[in-house]
Amino acid sequence: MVTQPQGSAADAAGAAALFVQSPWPAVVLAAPLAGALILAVWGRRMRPRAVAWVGVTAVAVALAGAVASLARYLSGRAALGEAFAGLRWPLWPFGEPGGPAVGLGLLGDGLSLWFALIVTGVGLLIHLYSVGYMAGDPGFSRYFAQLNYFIFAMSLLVTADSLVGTIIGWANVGLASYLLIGFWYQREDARAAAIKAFLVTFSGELGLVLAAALLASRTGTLAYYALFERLGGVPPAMLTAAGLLLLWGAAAKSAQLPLHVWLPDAMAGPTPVSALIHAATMVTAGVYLTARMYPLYEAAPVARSAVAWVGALSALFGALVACGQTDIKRVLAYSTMSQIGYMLLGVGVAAEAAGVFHFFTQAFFKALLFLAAGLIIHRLAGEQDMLRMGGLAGSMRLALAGYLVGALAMMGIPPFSGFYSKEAILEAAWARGGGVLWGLGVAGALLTAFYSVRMLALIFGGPPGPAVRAAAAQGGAGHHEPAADRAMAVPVAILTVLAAAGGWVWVPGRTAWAPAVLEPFFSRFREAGGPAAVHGAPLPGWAAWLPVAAAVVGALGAVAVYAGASTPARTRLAAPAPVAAAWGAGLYVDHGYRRVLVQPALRLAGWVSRQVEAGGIDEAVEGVAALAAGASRWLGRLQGGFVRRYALVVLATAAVLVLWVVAGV
Amino acid sequence: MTPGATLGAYLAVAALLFAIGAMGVLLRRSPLAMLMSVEIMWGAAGLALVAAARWWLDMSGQVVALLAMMVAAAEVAIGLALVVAIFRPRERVDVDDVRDLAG
Amino acid sequence: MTVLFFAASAVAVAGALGVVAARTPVHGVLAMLANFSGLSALFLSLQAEFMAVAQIIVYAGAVMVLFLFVISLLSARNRPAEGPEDRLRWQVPAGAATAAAVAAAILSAVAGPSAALGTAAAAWPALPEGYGGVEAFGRLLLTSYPFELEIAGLVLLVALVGVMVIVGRRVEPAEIGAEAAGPGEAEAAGALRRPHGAEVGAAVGAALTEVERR
Repeated sequence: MVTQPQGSAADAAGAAALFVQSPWPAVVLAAPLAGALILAVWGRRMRPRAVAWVGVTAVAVALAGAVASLARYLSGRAALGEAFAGLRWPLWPFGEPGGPAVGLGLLGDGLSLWFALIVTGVGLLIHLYSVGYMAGDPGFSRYFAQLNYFIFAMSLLVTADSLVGTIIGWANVGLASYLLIGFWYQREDARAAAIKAFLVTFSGELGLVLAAALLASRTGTLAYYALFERLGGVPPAMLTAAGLLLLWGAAAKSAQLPLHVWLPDAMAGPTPVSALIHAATMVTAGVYLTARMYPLYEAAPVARSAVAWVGALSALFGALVACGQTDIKRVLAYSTMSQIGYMLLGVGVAAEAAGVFHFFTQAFFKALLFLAAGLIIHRLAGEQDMLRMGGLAGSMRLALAGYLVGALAMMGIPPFSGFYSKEAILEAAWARGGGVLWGLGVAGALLTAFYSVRMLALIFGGPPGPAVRAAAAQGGAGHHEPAADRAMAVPVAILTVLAAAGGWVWVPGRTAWAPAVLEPFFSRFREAGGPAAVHGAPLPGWAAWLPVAAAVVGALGAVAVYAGASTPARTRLAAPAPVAAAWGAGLYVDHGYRRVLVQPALRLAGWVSRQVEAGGIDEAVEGVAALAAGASRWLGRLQGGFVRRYALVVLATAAVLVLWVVAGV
Repeated sequence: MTPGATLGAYLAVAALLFAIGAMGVLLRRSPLAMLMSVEIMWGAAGLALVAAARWWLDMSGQVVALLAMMVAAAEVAIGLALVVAIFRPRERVDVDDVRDLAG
Repeated sequence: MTVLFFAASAVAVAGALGVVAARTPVHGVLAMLANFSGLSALFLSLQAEFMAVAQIIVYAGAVMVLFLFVISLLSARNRPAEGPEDRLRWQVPAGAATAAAVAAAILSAVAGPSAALGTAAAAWPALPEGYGGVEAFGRLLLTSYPFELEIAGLVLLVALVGVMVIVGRRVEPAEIGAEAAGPGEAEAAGALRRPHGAEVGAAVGAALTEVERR
């Protein structure tokens, strides 16, 4: 199903990339930045209504900028043909002529605009939803300032025209996620989660910067298009190293094995923030990076297969752990890890367009699932334990509809959006990755269906759980969507439609809007006959439907276990206690980190604090201070206040100098 | 008509006067006596200038001596004003009593 | 002339020593007068007639009178003499040694060049017409050094204004207000005092500059 226009690839790669100057990409950046600044400076004095208006308008303008950029891009492509690469807008030229060009500019090619569109589009819906969800929070204006900043940072990441700009955006995304995960900073777990997310993703930044340094040392540039044209001069070993370093950075940001540990904890932030992180802004940065750098992976097959394996294993691992979680948001967190794994799998088997397409559909259904979960959590007064839910099907129809569509899309059931993208990825995995990668993907699809249906069953099926009964008792006649929730309902409804129909932009043989935007970049630097052209045995007809069949099997399995089971039975999984415990704890990866890294680091820090800090540095500082104090006390005696003594010193010095210089005594 | 001694003799007298003035500044504790000693040092410098002017037959030396005299007048006016301002409220007139800037 | 030189030098040095040794300020002033007179005579022996007269007028006239004024001003309340004990140990020997070193330094600096210039009194060059007189002095001062003269006059002016500011601050407006009938009057007095002092200073400075120029 993935079709690469191989025939024209060689010609396109030969022609110099043609750019058109256009300020529209700058609008995408400027609007949320302006919104963030306005809200940060004046937000606390503005009324919540005005804050919401500013925040939402800023992202709406950014979305308009992205749409206008895309229109300009498509018209430019129609007019200029193959050579046209995209829009460009210089921001800050920097660097000596002849030296490494590290200037900052904006790039609007198909890949950038594809991401910018999702970031601002889904971001806008989440902003809208937040107006309802965060109403009455004391940090309302701070929330919207940080949310706008998050959109700005991610837009910078995806529209920068060089690795430098992407790294800057990358760091800003890290800061924004730190601020938003720790938004409820009064809570200990939110603070810890924010620090954890920042540290883990920051470790990935190290890989990113090292890779950039490696590439710049050999090519003399970090601007994407110039860099890709000069990759031929870089030794293969160095390309492989750079590819693996980039994968490290991508895995940290995108919560892939083994750096996924921050993602479940990041659920401590407000639910719309989780939606934003998972759907649009943060975890997809790794997908963008690896897809953007595909010419490098083209020349580094080892690094590319590492990407594929990390993706496939993460897809399976995330799905597996998600089956054992009881916290509604942690299930979604692990499911994100799993879905991002599919995207990296697509990138790793040279089906970048398919991977990025999956980002597109995942943005819709994952945002939908989070926002629907937010509706439920909101209704149940912050309850997130699925075992205390149940029986909500009758009372929360919108949440049910959203959850159902989102789950079906995530499971990959046709004709919902996830089907098309996941199918494209798995097909490419079969063709170019081999049966094992494909098998991992199919197994992940089976587990995805299992935990999706399990989640549906626990939340909506069965008798009402304790949290539901408590909410009903408290709300009295509260079985309706309050008027204040309209702002939350509208985005959920829109996302429901998009999650259902979003995949139709790329139905093989019918529509090809996504490839029309994405393929020009993905074929520009690909040589005909390269690794991407290697086709294994074409997927047999029966195998094409196997993922769907696996999903159905998984779904039926979940129905068999959970549907109609009584509450105590639901608490008990169909597994012995130790396995369930391991499951709930995310297979002890976190424990491993704690044992291997965190505790030794804390012990070392304690030792440094006691021995080096108190014994060495403090003593040294105090010693210097005492030395200065003693010396000044001693020298102060020279300043006796006796004018005559000063005069004596002056005159004696003058006499000695004159004798020495003039008379040579 | 010539001066009564060699130029070196005049300069020696000037040096002697200058040293005596310096000694007064160093040894006396009365600010008035110190200021008078400074005046002696000014005069010694003037003597050296005038003697050199006579040797070179260039009256510029005398002019500079006159200018120095004017500046000395300004200096003594300020100095005495300070003495009055500082010592009028005090019992003794002794520079060693004024040690407000002692370290 | 040799006798004049030695006599004048002896008077000047004796006067200087008298200033250093005087127990009371008035004796010091008298010794300083002797020093100035000796210097003036030395100027005369060097054919610097104008400078000799100026020395007498400026120092023996103006400066000495100023010293006497201050002595009497301070004597009004306390004895203007230093305390009996010297709190600086070693200051006397160290000061004397330093003074000797200064003398040695200057002498050693001038000894070589002046020996080269000639040891006999007759080595002095012959005197041109009008040397050291008022006319030649004034011509040189006002043609070659007018700018320097103005600067010196400005220094005098600033010094006089400074004296007004330093000494004229003693009576605060508040004190006057405490003594006087009402606050309004005190303000008037305070407002008047400063500008008055400054005006006097400026006027005196200007007048002095004029005098110097003539």
